[in-house]
Amino acid sequence: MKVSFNGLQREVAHVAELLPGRFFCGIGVCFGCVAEINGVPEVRACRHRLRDGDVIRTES
Amino acid sequence: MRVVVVGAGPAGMAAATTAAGAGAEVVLVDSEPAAGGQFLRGRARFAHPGVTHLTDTEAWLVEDGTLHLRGPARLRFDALVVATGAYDRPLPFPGWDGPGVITAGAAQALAKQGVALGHRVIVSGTGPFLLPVAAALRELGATLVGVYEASSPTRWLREARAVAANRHKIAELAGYRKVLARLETRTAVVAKHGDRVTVAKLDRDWRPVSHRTEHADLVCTGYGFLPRTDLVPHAERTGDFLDVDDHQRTSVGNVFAAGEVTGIGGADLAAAEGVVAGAAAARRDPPREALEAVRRGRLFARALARVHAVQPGWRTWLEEDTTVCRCEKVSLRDLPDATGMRELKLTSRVAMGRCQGRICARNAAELTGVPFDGQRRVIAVPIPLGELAALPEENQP
Repeated sequence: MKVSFNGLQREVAHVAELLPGRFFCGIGVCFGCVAEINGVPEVRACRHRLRDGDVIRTES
Repeated sequence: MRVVVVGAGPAGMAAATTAAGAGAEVVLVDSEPAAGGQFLRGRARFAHPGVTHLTDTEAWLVEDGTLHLRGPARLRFDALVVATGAYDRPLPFPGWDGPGVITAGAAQALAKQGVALGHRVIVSGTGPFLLPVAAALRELGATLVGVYEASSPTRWLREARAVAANRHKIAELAGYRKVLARLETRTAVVAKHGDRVTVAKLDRDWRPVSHRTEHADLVCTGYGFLPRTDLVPHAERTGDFLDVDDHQRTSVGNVFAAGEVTGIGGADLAAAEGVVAGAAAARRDPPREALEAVRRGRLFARALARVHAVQPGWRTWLEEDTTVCRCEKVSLRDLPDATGMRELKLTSRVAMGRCQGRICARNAAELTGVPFDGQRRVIAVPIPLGELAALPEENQP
């Protein structure tokens, strides 16, 4: 998947690869992977199925 | 009558199907896009003419006969079945909050999506669930550096009754031959710095007795499970798990519980409990076979809890600067002397972050000796204020 992560173009198979040290429980319990995805704030990224063109931000 | 089931894993699907079969109007609420729960993630084909399945829907509060959903929306019920499952309990060690450490459940969820996050992986924790996780990672092509079980398997020798009643569980182990070759017992990851992983041999209390270094880019960890009981914060429980009677009734009126919220015993026990709860919720007598399966499964679940109980020596794995609370970055040295959980939270902010203590509260209580009273939160998931503001006034229909 080709996505934008904090303004940089990245190609990853899963959102977990973008969030080392933050993706942890993988099932929406720990809130470590919270990010802004496609303009929606406070999304638990682990519950988001990544698509080409997604814009992910962990820094404002 | 309307039966609402929360959670579409093995327990919830069985409860919904059974209640619908008994003639109830059934709504199955689940936060995932497809039924199956963590166990069958994406591999369940759930469809029943008597069940309305609400996908991608989170429930956040039970109030008398009403279930509040994100959206916002409200669902009236005559009976509620809580089948919300459980999540891995991690134990902290130096480096557990850095890159390359995830829970065993996270590794399993990723594997079911075809992703192994590392090349050289270690699975470390306690309980039989470590084996399918290791097997899944291996099948994805990862090199299995080790599977470390902190407990001693000889403890199973004391559980002859549970083993005899559940022979099929032992037979399942044979399916993990290839990963069993990498299994070391009384062993745990006690630190990770970059790819250097400190592996310790443990005594019976889980205190390290010797150390060695392995190299791995991913450590998957899980020391048993904590139940997701947030929807019924006042329900009576033993330890972490909800108390239920032989019809799966909780101490809260018209609220039943099934599956891993009542104890950890595998998908077959969860499904049997779901059948009992679904029948009882629809005011029918549960089928005898299901009651018998629950009885047998509980024997196994109780033995599992004894054999794989977390032992207190884990507290010696931490350094003073080891993170305990990931959300609020509270380390061991920040934990004050406290007489209760509330005082502990207010003075250190441990368990006060986004996860509301789901990951750390239990560990923080054990590290400080403060009594832990189960996971009691008033609201089950964070809700934006705008959504609360959109709720209709109380006195309007």
